[in-house]
Order: sequence, then C-alpha cells, then structure tokens
Amino acid sequence: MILRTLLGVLAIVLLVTGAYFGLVVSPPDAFQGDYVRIMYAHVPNAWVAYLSIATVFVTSVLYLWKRRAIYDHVAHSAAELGVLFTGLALATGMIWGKPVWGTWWTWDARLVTTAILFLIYIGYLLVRALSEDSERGAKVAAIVGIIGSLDVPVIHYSVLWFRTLHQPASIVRGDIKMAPPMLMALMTSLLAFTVLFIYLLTLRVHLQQLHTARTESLAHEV
Amino acid sequence: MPVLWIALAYGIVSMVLLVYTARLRRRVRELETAVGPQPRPLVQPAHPR
Repeated sequence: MILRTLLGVLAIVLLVTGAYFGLVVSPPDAFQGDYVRIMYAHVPNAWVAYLSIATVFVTSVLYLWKRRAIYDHVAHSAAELGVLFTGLALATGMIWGKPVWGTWWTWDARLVTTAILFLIYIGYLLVRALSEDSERGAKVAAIVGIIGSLDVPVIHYSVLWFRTLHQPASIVRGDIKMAPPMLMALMTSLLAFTVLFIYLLTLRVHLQQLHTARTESLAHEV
Repeated sequence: MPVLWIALAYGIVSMVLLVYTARLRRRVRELETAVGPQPRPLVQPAHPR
C-alpha cells in the first residue's frame, strides 16, 4: 500500500519533470519546429503499450502453464492498460500527423498494425466480459492475448519491412540519432510513463483481487 | 499554430490518464470497504514478546 503510494508520487514527479523538459528545455526540431514536442507525449504511450502487451504475453503463458489466478489477474489488468495506452498512442499520433504529414490518418503499415493491435485487445476484453464461465473465459483470453501479442514485433519492424510514411526508430542499439537535450526529454518521459504503468498495473491487479474476493464472499452468502 | 496542437495532445493524454486513475482508485476504495479488512500476514512471530 505504502509502496504503491510512493510509486504514484514518483510517477507524478517524473511526469511533471518530463513535461517540463519536453515543453521548455527541449529545442525545436530543424524540420518540424515545435511540433516535435508532441513526440514526448506520443512515444511514451507507444512504449507503455508495448510493455503492457509483453506483460499480457508472459502472464498468459504462465497462466496456461501453471493455472494460478494471479497470472490471469495480471494479464487481464495489463490488457486493459494495453488498450488504454495503444488508444492514446494512436490519438497523439494522429494529432502529430495532421500538422506534420498533412493528414490525420493514412493507410501506413505502422498505423494499420497499431490499429489492429488496439482492436485485438478490445476483443480480448470482450471475450472476458462476455464469458459466463470465468475459468474458460480466462483460458480463451490467454490464447487471444498470446496470439495478439505477435502483432507487436510486426508493428516495431513495419517501418523497416515496408515503405512507410512513419519515421524509423531514432534510438537503435548503439546508434542514437537524437540531440542530447531531446534525448534527455524523451528518456525522462519514457521513465515517467514506465513508473506510471507499474503504478496503474499494481492498482488494477489489486482491484481485480478485491473483485474476486467480493464475488467469492457473495457466492458463500448465497 | 503549434501551441494548439501540442496543447491538444498533452491535454488528451493528461485528461484520459487522470480520469482513468481516479476511477480506478475510487473503485478500489469502494471494494476495500465492501470486502472488509484484509487477512493478517501469514508470517508472524511464534512467541510474541
């Protein structure tokens, strides 16, 4: 409880610092001008979306293998966060695209595969919500979660595999194509969103456990 | 006007995350009240002084 509160406070401090670096300290881009500041809101959302889906993949495999409820709780919570952050990555990407590319949306490989990921995990949540047998629902959702996560490497490498409008990664292992003040702003935002993700995930898992405890106690009363 | 686009992006992200976190925290508080006190820790001293 105290640890979770501390995580929440740390996330707020880092988010405010990241916003300060992104909006004030970071210089405008040579080509995009001040529009580049939208990157500090867009990239961290996409990063946390990846992180959420990776969590769904690992915990879904563990659930199918060990059948322990905690893995299912974490997978369910991470999938919900995955939908949230993928939605925000798509929204901020469209807001960045309109002034820079001249269009809200284009049928570009990166954009389409990200939209597919968003739809897959909405489907994951629907499978859970509509299932009457919770154990069977968890099993089917775990399979959907594992298959859906295969889209993440496709999204990541789509800018290399296909001819796209979306720019390739600016930070590749051993090769950073970014000025130091911009890199500092981006890294601070990435750290802030990672801490926020851990905070939200622990809170969401706690809610899931409380919900299960409540359902079980009501079943006992009946 | 870059300021408007930047404000739109940051505004949407902030509002969505604030509303989601607030709803999550409220739901946790409600269920904590409904479920009651949590079980005591499993590991305790055998002979408390």
